[in-house]
Amino acid sequence: MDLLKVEGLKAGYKGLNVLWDVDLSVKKNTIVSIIGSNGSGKTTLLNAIMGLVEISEGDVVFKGERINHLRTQERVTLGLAFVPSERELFPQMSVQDNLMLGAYTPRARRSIKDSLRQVYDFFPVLKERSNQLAGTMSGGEQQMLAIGRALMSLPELLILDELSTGLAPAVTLRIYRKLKGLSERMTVLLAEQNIHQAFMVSDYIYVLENGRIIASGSPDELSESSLIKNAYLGVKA
Amino acid sequence: MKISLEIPKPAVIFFLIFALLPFLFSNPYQLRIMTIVAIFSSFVYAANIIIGESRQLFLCMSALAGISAYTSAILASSYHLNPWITIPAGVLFSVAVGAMLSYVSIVRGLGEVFVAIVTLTFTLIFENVVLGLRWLTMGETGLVTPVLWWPLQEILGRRVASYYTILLFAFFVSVFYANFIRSRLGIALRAIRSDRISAEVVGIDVTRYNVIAASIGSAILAVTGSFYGYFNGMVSPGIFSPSMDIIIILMLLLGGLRTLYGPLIGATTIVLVLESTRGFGQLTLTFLGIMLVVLILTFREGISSIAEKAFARISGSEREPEA
Amino acid sequence: MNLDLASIALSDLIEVLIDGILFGLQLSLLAVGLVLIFGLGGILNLAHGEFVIVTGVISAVLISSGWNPAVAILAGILFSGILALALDRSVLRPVYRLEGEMEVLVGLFVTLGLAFTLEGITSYLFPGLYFSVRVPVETVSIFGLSFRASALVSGMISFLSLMLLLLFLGKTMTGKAIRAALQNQTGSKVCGIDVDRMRSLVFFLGGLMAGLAALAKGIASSVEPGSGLELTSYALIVGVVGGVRSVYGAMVAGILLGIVNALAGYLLGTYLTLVILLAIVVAVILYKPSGLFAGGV
Repeated sequence: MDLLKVEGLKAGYKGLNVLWDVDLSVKKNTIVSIIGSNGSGKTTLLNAIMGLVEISEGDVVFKGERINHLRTQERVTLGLAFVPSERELFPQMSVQDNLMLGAYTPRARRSIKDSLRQVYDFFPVLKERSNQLAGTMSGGEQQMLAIGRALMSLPELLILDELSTGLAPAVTLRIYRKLKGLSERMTVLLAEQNIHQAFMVSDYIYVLENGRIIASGSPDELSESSLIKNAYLGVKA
Repeated sequence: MKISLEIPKPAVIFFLIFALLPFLFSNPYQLRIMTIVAIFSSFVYAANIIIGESRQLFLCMSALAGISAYTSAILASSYHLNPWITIPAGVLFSVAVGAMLSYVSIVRGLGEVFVAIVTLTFTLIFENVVLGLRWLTMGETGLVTPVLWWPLQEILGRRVASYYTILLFAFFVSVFYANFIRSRLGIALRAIRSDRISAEVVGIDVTRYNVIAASIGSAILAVTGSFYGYFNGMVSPGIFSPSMDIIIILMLLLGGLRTLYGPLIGATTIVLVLESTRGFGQLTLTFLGIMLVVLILTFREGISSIAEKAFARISGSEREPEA
Repeated sequence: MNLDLASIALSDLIEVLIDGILFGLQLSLLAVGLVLIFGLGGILNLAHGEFVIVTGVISAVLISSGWNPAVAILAGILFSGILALALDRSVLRPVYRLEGEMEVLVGLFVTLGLAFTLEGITSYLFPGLYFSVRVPVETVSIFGLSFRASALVSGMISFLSLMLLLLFLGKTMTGKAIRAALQNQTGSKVCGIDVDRMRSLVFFLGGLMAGLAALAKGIASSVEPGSGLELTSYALIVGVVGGVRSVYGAMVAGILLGIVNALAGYLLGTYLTLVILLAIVVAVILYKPSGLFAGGV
């Protein structure tokens, strides 16, 4: 069953359209990636799914329900969670407060203690620094905090924008492994510039170029395609 | 260099009507109201230059007018000078203050909002200095101004003479404004308004032009403020109070920001409204407040530009739009 | 004018200092509401002082019509909160749809208009009315220093109100959500926080704080219609010096300016003291527009 479906989506900023007829679907308990170069529209696509960018045409359907008209916070209540590329933490609050606010929705609030323990298990460094102000942490730690905050809402679909930016490759790898482990309980949609890592963890991949999906398939299928080999994998066909 | 002075015909007609009014309405109360309309239309032209053209949100117009009025009156009475000599001194003082406020806020990169706060604070400082320096300003009671000789007062009588002098100045200011917006300076300010960065790139000195605009506005405020004081027979903190700024801005918004006739329409309308609600005492404030809220939320273009658009639609000509 | 500091007795100086701190707490209480509303609403609320007046007017009217004073004052404070909330939900709605500098500017004029509206109504309907709460004891002496009991009680009420606000913002989930919305609106939405609702809540809180400031001021001196803009300018002074978005900044700045005010008042007299306070504001804006104690909500 498709947990998330995007159909014929057109979206952009103030008279400047960025996305053109984007179709995409995410099946339950899978990891799906959107790859594409800088400026291809990945962030706009994720923002449109989250309600942070206005949709001019098309539909976003989550759990069979059309959510176009819902505001961001209402989408979060439904079970979407988002890690923006800018992280959007609360810099003058402690790590623990940042995490607690991740569980702001009533459903998440009920199991806030358990979630907190799990996030601390997931990222032990956050536990060590639970009283430190978020704004004073390193980029990698902030990224972990942003992911931890998103996990606190007990999402059914976790959406990650540019996970690898600002992180050491080894750290990214570790986080991806952990996410892979989580996908038994959770579905993940991620936008990545780092093609190799996307190919490693994903069950399905969409290639976005100039605001349009130009190819899609499983990592195996795509790595056979000469287009992808040339443009992204750096392999001469 | 080609010099062409434009004297807009509607302004001439408007002022001619105003000049004929004393033949119809000649009692002191009516003359007083007409004079106040003329005073405030000059104030509003100044606001139109400072707030409208150069987008510096000065909330110290009352203080700039007051500084000049007080300086001139104090100098004239302390040294027994002819007020016509001390008025320029007061104007210079105000212009220096206005230019300084403008210069400092541009150099420090204050946004419009901080300019508003700084200038509002300056207004409060002015008010409290006037209240505090009782030995010089007579504090709250106010200072009785020396008698100013109005041109032709021997023939027309003081009331009518003062009205004509002040009206003539307002006419001069409106003609000045019509030419100002077509001048190099006015065009430069328009460029800065539409895109400050590009204006800087093509070599327009943003600081200089803004300071000049503020100085010109201050000069108009200062001359008018002095006339206001001498016309009143006294200067007091109550006359040059912060609510004067609000009234000026209301007039500007009602008439229409950056329009040629907005100041005349705004000043006339608001003075009449204020006069006719005088009986309601403090509720006048409420009327002003509600008008301000309604104007700013629904009607930011003002009467004059809406009338102009309607006129343009009828006559088929279009005025170039501005963001 | 006596500027010979050496001739001032130490005990006088301590009394002046403590007086300043007590008055400063009042200033802080007055300013926190303004700062909260600016931080989240993006609106520099020039009608803030009117909220104080409204509490005073409602309380005084209810008391004179036979209500229990405590209940009347509570009702007055609540009324200011509800009034602030109502303004947020009605006239200010169109302002939020604007962006950036335009939002702040239009907000400035709309609240200025509201200030005039409220000032006109209250002074027209209740001329000569004033709200004042008398403390039964005149003076209290501690360690040989004597203080006005009313100033002490007023300062304590201000202090308690500020502490309650800090506790609410620091410890409760809703309070944290407000701080979150102040620090990062996108981040808040992503956490499921309804930023619009937080803004309404902040207006309500700001109104309540102004109401409590009316109580504090009513105990120390009196609240009367017509002085709303003056109170707003005090709140603005404190807010600007503390950093217009910082609650802690407003608290520290309030106390500091209270002390400056008391010292200057002792040495120079009322009007020139206000000039000094205002000059501090101009200096702060020019030197550090973000405020002296910015950072931290």
